[in-house]
Amino acid sequence: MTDVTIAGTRTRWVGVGHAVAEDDAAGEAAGREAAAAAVQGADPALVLVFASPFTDLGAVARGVRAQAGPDTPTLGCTTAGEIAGLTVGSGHVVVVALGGPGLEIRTASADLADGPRAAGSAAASCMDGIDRPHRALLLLYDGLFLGRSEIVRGAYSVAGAGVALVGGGAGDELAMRRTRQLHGDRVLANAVVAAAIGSDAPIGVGVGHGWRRVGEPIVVTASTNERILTLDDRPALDCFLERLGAPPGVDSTDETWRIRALSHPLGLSRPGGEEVRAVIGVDFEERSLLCGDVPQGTMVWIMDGDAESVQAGTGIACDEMLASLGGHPPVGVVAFDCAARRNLLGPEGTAREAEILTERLGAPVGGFYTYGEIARTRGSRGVHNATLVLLGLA
Amino acid sequence: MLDAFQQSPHQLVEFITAVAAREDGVSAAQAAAELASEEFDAEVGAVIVGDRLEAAVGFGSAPPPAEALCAIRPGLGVADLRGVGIAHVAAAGWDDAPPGRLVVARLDRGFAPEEHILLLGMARGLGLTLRTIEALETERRLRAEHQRQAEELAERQRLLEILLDIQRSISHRKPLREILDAITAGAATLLGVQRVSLVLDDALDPGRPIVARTNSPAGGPAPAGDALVASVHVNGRPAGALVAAPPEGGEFDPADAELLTAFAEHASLALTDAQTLQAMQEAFHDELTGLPNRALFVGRLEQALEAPRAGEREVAVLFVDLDRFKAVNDSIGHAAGDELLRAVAGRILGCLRTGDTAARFGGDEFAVLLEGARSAASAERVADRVIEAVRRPFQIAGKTVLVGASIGIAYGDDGVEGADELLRNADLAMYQAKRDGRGRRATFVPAMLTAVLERVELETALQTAVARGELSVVYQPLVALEDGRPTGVEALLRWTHPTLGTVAPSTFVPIAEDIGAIGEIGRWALDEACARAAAARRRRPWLRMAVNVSAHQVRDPEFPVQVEAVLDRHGLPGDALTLELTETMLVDEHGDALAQMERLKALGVSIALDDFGTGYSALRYLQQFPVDELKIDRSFVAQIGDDPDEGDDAVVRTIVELGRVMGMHTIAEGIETPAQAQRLQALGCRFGQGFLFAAPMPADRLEAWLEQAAPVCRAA
Repeated sequence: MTDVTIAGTRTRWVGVGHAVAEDDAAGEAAGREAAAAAVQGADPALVLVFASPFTDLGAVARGVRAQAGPDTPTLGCTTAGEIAGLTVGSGHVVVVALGGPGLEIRTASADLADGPRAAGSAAASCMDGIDRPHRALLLLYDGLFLGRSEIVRGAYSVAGAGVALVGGGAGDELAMRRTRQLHGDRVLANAVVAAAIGSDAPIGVGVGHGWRRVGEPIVVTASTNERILTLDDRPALDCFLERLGAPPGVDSTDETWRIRALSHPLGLSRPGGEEVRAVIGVDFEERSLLCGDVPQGTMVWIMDGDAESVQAGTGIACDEMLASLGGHPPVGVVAFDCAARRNLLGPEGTAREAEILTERLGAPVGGFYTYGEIARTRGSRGVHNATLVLLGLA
Repeated sequence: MLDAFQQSPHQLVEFITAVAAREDGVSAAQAAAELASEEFDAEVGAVIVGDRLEAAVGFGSAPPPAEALCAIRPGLGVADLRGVGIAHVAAAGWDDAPPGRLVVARLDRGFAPEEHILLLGMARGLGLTLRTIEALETERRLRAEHQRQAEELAERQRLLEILLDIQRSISHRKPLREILDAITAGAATLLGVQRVSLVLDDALDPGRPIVARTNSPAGGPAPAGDALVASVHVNGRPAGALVAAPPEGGEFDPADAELLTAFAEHASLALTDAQTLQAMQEAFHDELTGLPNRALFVGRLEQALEAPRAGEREVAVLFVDLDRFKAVNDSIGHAAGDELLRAVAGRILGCLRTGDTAARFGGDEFAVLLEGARSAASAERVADRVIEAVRRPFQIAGKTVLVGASIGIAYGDDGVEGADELLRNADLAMYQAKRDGRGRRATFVPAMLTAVLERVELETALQTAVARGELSVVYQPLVALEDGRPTGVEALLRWTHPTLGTVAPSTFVPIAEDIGAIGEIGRWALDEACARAAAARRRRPWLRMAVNVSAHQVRDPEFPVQVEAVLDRHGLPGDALTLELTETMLVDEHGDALAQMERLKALGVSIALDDFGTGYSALRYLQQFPVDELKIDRSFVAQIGDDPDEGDDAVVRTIVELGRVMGMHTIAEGIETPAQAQRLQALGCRFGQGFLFAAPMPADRLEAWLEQAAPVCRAA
């Protein structure tokens, strides 16, 4: 099954194609099919590939490049679900192609083993020499790597305030075992891959989550890059469960409370607004929360959301993205939508979300469900969780 | 904004914790710029220290607009920042040395007052952190320096041990193969290389060299780079070479070349030794004097130490070093210098019994091994005889030549481990003898070794004493003896080390001179004293400041310029300052010193000769130099007794008389009793200083002392 949308102006165009790929064998054909649909015989400047972890990303890449051309800059990753227009779910390959004379693209990749900051800087080095009036750096990285703040810091140190940072963490359909990244024809693990986008027309970014604070603030009294160890000087898990109303003595066998814990992210108050951090695991042994990028000394709130409030976040992201295009209509949009939102919305909610995006944006939408999002258009921070980030090209 | 305000203590903690975790100032500033920009959701964060932009984020890989950022003053405002645009800015500073500012810039909105308060807190925290880090960095550097020195000492010790082992193998006639292996292995170890080869021409099969090598990985390629080569001789003729493959990823330095040459010389020795008895004799004897060389001496010493004997002090070593040999050699020429060395060797031998060994170690170094030296006195007697013998004039190439000898003595007591340790002890004692004033002997005591280690420690500590604020200046008033009114003040340098306590200037000034730190210390002390003089002279314009200067300072051609600059800086006329020099300087330095002193005199500065009478300055020098004052050394003042009939005031009388004739003031140092003061005055000495009037005092007590001693401002 192929779904095709091509939109564009005389100068720029964005195409989104997708195909089903539920096992390794289907990878190459699905790649070729989705790419053919996205490219439509044109000559793309950049091809983005978001592939289900159930298929072989290397095979997908071969198919995509056979169709899009072996020299076309290609970037991609595995996902926790794929988005292509109104088609939302698992087991797909989605290809987003962009092209036209007003665009300038360069790509790079870096190994997180060299340290997240160094990797962020190295990936961002592809911005060098891009001097179009509107610039963005798209980053895809191993979503199981905790401590993204350093990746963003590294990228910001090279890109600077004049470049929007946007992107998402590669997923593996919540298996939490391994993710893959794609740069050209190379399939990478534990990596950051990046595309520098320079455009003559505006590039818009929108962010929305729809979570709201519950109760009184709590101080993070001890934390590492990956974990919160204590809240208000008590073991973090005990304090967290108590705030959620759990009875004393909840242990690892209590599935209800474990799931409830995972569906409540933490909100960090920041001068520019609120940032959300997902709690991606709880450690009953150490009584800690697996929740990264929350510095010691930060004040946090437990956040609550339902399908309705989270869907409101979708609208906020659309409005913000359109506003940042300054009245120019988008020719296409890339969506980085958190896997936590997909969980909370359920199949009906995600279908509704796809409708909202398509209606409000009036342009082809392609993207994936992420493990963490990146968006920086002002200030110098850009780490998000449980959030929808939209990148629109005019 | 309520959140931001509520959160500020936590944000401050988060910020300071993260910044303080950095190891060096640059990365702390980098972290601070970054975290501050994140905390305020600002595009730009920057840290300025002094007037320099230390760190900035927000400008990507483009150079940050340093000038615009440095121009942002503490407070709130707006600035146009290249690459970012027109932004709201907030800046807060700290005053700790060096002062600095933390700056944030935000595009979309201004900064609220509570944000500014948070920024102030962050800036103060950053200032404190940077200061702490700087202190830690200094500490770390010092520790690394100590470590390096210790390693260097250990390395030198290792070289000595390996060479001694080889020398022992040679003197014990160990198999040649074994000796050559020891040489290549030793060289490889000390050079830190994989492979050292000994390549020799084979007389029986010309064109196919014999190769002895060590640690050679079979067939392994040699690392790229130039190999180091040192020639090996047999019977004085080139016979091959010692070749070191370059170290992995490195190059050789000149010290490596010297080291390899030392090993090559040992290889030459061993080979020559093995060839013929004649060759062996040559290899173990000094070519110039015919005396045994170091290797033979060490071998004999080893044997002497190993031989079981009853009683102590059976073995003694004299380490003889000629005084002034270099100067003599330079003036009479090298051929005559060689002749002199031969003559010295003959005189040394003339002082010894049959069975004693005299050796030449090279240059002007000789050693004597005394066996059966039954009492301490006998080794010392031999030393005295050698000193006496060498002191007598030599007739060399028709000229009379005078040299001297300084001798260190060490005994093979129970505590001595071996020949090398005994030789080192004698060597240390020889240096002590030199320090005591050439032409002397000194016997090793363990304190000499301790003194060497202490000196190394002092040298290191002294390098940073000024920077660490460990030096201070105290002031001792100078008075007119007739009525005790103050006329001036002498500035005296003090060093208080955090663990060693107070270190006497007589200890640390010579060290500072040796390690080249005296310039900085002297400049600092002169500046302190002049600052104090300027302050004191506001109410007492007649007051003069005397400052001690070392020969090294006076030798510096820039010194008069420095003095002029210091006087200018503190608004002092030249006649407010007296520079105190030691009299030995006139003798040792007199050519250059005269020109320097005349330049100083041109500034109006007075010159005093310190500790006068203790050196041996000739009248001629006194006449030549523009000296204004003579300071009578405390040792002569102490000889003046309370009872005028008992004390000995002949020297003082002579100096005062000399001063009168030459038109110089005399100032007596170390006056402790009223009787001394009266006697000095009676002899015609008009000025003095000492505990009788006032002990040296810190700057903050000087003003009070002057106030009680001279309450009326005389100029008024």
